[in-house]
Amino acid sequence: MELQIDGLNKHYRSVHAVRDFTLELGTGILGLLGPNGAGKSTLMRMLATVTKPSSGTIRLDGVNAVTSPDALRRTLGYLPQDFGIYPHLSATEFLEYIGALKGVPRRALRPRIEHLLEVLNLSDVRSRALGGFSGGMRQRVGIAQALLNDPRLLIVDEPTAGLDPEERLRLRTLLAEMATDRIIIFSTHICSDVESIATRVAIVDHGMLLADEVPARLAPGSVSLEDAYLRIVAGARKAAA
Amino acid sequence: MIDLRAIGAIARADVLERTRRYQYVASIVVTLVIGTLLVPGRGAGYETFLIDGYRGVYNSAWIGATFALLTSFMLALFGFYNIKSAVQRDRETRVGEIVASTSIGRFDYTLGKALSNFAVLGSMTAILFIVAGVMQFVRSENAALDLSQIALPFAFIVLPSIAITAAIALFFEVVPWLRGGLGNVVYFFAWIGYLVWSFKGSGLSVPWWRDAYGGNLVLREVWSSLRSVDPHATLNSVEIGAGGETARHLFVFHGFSWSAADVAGRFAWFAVAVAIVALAALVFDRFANPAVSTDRRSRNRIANRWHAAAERVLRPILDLFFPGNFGALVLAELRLLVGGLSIWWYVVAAGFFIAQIPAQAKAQSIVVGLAWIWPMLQWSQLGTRESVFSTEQLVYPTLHPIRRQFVAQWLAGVLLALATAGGSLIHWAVAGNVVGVEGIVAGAFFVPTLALACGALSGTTRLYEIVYLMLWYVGPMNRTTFDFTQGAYAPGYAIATCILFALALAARRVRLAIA
Repeated sequence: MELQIDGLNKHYRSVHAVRDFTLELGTGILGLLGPNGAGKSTLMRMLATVTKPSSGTIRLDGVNAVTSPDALRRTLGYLPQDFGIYPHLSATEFLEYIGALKGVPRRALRPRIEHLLEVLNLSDVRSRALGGFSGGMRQRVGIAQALLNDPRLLIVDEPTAGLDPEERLRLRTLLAEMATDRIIIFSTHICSDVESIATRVAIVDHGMLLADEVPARLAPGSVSLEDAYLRIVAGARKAAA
Repeated sequence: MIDLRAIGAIARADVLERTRRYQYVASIVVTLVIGTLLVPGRGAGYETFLIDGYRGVYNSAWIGATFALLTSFMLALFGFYNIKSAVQRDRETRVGEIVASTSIGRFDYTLGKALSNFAVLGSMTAILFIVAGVMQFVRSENAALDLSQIALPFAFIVLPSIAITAAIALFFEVVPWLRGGLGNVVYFFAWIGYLVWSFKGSGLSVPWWRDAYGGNLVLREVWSSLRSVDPHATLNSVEIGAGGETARHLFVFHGFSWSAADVAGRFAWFAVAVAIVALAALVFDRFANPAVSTDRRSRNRIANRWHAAAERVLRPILDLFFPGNFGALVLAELRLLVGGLSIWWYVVAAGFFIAQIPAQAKAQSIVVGLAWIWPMLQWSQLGTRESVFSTEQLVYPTLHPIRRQFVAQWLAGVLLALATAGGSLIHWAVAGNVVGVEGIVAGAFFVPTLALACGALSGTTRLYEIVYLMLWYVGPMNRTTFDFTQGAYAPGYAIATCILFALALAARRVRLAIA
């Protein structure tokens, strides 16, 4: 499985949100690091085919997802940064709805929902209205919907936001287990979230790719990933100034 | 390829989400109450369907015809505003972003949402169908219940009508400029315009495409039956809705004679509805454009200068009346109300202002009416801004959120009303007409107070938009007793303003208590 991002650009009127972004990905977890407003979410929205790039191509196993997005969508799991829920639906009803949209076969959907509710520690609240959920519980529902179709390409934007330490660890373990045969793109600005599980780390600022390395090379020896990240971002900004 | 399961899932989830909200329960209760009012008793002092002083005996045929006609019209207007939120909900809750990442097709999505619209309107139709049957027994002018005489008009008149309303509501939601308050205004006038065209010079025999709501068909059938009873009856006086005239005569309506052409013409509207949904699918952006609002203020330097100048003038006046920095709060609310508007908004408002000064006394209502329809979308924010922009948690804990912030918001609305009708104030003051001035001042307090009350009660802008539009149309535009710009009615509107203000305060207190 291969995802090729080639010369991707996105303009919002005068804002150049993503600039000439080029990257090739195989199976494993890509940790996408960058400060707030770096263009990570815009990049992820384009990879998830929610918004079209101004220029450039995205290819999954050779199929252009910009012109033919359906092939990518069928195999995609996407957790947006600011996603919503229907407050008057229960977790099960909401997941049934998203499952139908994703085309998960009816017979497979119910056991899949049960499994995900169990894994994400939501079984006890499956029938409660989502409007009464805490931020962390909503986030877990968001993760569940992203995993419903057992995606080969999983794009998760700030998935650990609102989770307590135990849930964060549980999610990281889940992602690490899944990464053996799929591509996972994990965006965050918390270095420790990606340090332990990412097979590659990409650092983004002002819409540009500043670095793309395995964590050991990016932060060799006793240098922490956070230090390396701060140094790279500061260096790029100094050079730009 | 059409994915029926996905379409069903979209419609089901949307219906469940809507019908579990308290607003839906409230709208069902209102529907029930309205249903009982559609069949007034003998001493009620009004009728809902009258031709030349004739009303049908309350048998199944007449009740079926009356309910079908009025349900079709009511749901086409009020129903539209009630259901126009299916796609908006996905934008606001951001579920749309998840939907966009799936392989669901545009047509499947829009059809699913339109079906949800249809189901919600259908549930109201079902309630009215039951009420129709019950009311025949309640009024007991004719106890023989013939269900087919009630069911067929509902099936042939109402169902196609709500299908078209459901599709149009969906279409308005996917066209960016029709999505908000402007779309609500456009629909109101388009709907009235279509109805007028539908009945105009028709001779009650119009092609199916001029009778989306079935009004002509119902009128034609009832008229044909009435003519057999009284050949001298005329169509000069037809009353549909709650008119003040009461029936002078009763006649027996025996029901519709449905021809194949009639039924085909009605069902053709289902095809039109699907075509509108298909058109909506072409326009639908699939949530590709996030709700990004560009900072228009930075581009609108002239408006910013206008705001600064207005503040310089208003600040000392407000400081004179209000101690502390309350004046500054009122100005801040005023800035929120009109900030970021295009310079053309001000140009048009200024045009209306100037037009009021020389306008003749008879034309004042219309000119002021026009000046006061222009800021309608600004007033509709009153009492709703906090829930629309989810700022309750920031605003409610501030110092005296009702006594200061809520009142300041209301005063900003009043200032906007006084400013936009300033030309008329000048006109009446120069003419030495105190009653004229009173009318404008009473109206300037009434209009934003109505907005505040509707906003605080409903939490959305739509209730005000539809109530105000109707009042504006029957009032200043038609110079009836509902004209809130007339000095003669100023005392009544002053009392109404007080009641509405008290309601608004009570509603805000409740919201504060449950926030």
